[in-house]
Amino acid sequence: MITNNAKWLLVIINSNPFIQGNTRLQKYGLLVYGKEVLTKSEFFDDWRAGDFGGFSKQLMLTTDYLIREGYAASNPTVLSETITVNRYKLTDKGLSEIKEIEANQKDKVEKIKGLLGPYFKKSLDTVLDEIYTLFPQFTDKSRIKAKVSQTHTKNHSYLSPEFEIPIDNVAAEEILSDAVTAQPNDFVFNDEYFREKLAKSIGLAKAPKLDPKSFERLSGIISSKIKTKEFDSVDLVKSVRGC
Amino acid sequence: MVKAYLDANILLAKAAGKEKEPDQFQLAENIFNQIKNNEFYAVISSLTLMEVMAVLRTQKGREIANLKGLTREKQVEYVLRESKAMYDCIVGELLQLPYLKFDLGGKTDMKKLFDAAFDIMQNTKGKVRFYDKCKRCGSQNVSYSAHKSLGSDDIIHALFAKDVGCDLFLTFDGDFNELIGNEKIEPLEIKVIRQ
Repeated sequence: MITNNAKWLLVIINSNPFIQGNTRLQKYGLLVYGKEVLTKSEFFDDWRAGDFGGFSKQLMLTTDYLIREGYAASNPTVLSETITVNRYKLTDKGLSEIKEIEANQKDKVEKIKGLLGPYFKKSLDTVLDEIYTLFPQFTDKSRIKAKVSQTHTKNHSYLSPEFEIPIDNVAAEEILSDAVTAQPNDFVFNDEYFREKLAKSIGLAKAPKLDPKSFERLSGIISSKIKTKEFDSVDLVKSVRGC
Repeated sequence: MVKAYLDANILLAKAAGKEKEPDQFQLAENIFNQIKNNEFYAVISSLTLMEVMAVLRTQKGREIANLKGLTREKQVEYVLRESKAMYDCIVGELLQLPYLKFDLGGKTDMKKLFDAAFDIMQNTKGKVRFYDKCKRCGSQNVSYSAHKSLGSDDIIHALFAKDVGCDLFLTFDGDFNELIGNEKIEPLEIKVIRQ
């Protein structure tokens, strides 16, 4: 008999053909939690900012427990000379354990599959980029924030094994030793590149600081400059889209 | 937190203000209030900003009274200068809005996106509508019909929003209703905001 939280963790693991690495599993858990697919009582709610972004100790311990008890299998997969990660998959025991939840809570199970399924083919750096963007509140202590920020602007999508939490902690220290801490700034969404570009395009030296008063200032800001009688925003956008 | 993609018509309605855009302004205001209250955060794409720029140029190009006496060269100069001034005002404020992300879709696979857009386009039906007055000049003695449906740009916007991980697509454009429930768009939720 396992807890409800553990059952939902099994559902998460089963949302992909397999889940490669602890980092990815943690991020999937955070997505399910953060997107409120499950209520707080149904899933782990001990999320905190960790070295690799949002981290739940309960999720980590429960994963270990599920493997020990034979609900899930963890197969070490070599990514590079120094990095080996676990590949998680449900066992037959795990699959039969979630049958009831799949039948009784079909909507939530489908929602989890719909949410996490598309990430299977996405590289880990893409997953991290998206999660850091969605949950900036958990990135304060991240030791890879600068690297995630760098990858955000790169137009590539291959696996970056250096972001995996290695099984061997010594290897982790080696990898992190050259990680640079990002300079803190206002912009939590890793969109500095485009902000700078936009700022320059309108004649500013750099991206302006955030100011909540801009919500008011934006209202009707071009009203006096519109010389025609009417301004139908839907119609105008349609006209430039050629609809 | 929910991530919402803003269609260009929402931005423009907010910037145009109550006097010029009485139909949509308050709705836009409500959306921006939700952003301000951190109920969700907004995503604006470069495609959206390009459309804002294009709309402002179109708008300025309709100012017949101001354009009539100018040479062709000066007409273009007027449209570009005046629309740029408006665009700069909008972007200047957008850059200062909290809870707003500019997304260029650096990791978007354009081949896949266009492939999906093509499939959607082939299956859209749209509607035939009849009109008894000219929308632009208001003339009553006009009768015409037109087929209205999603444009390719509409579909690309929605697919892009899905690709950059948005949960919601917010628009005032009712044509987007046709995308609701489309399996290539889900789990992105299309929300057409109406009065």
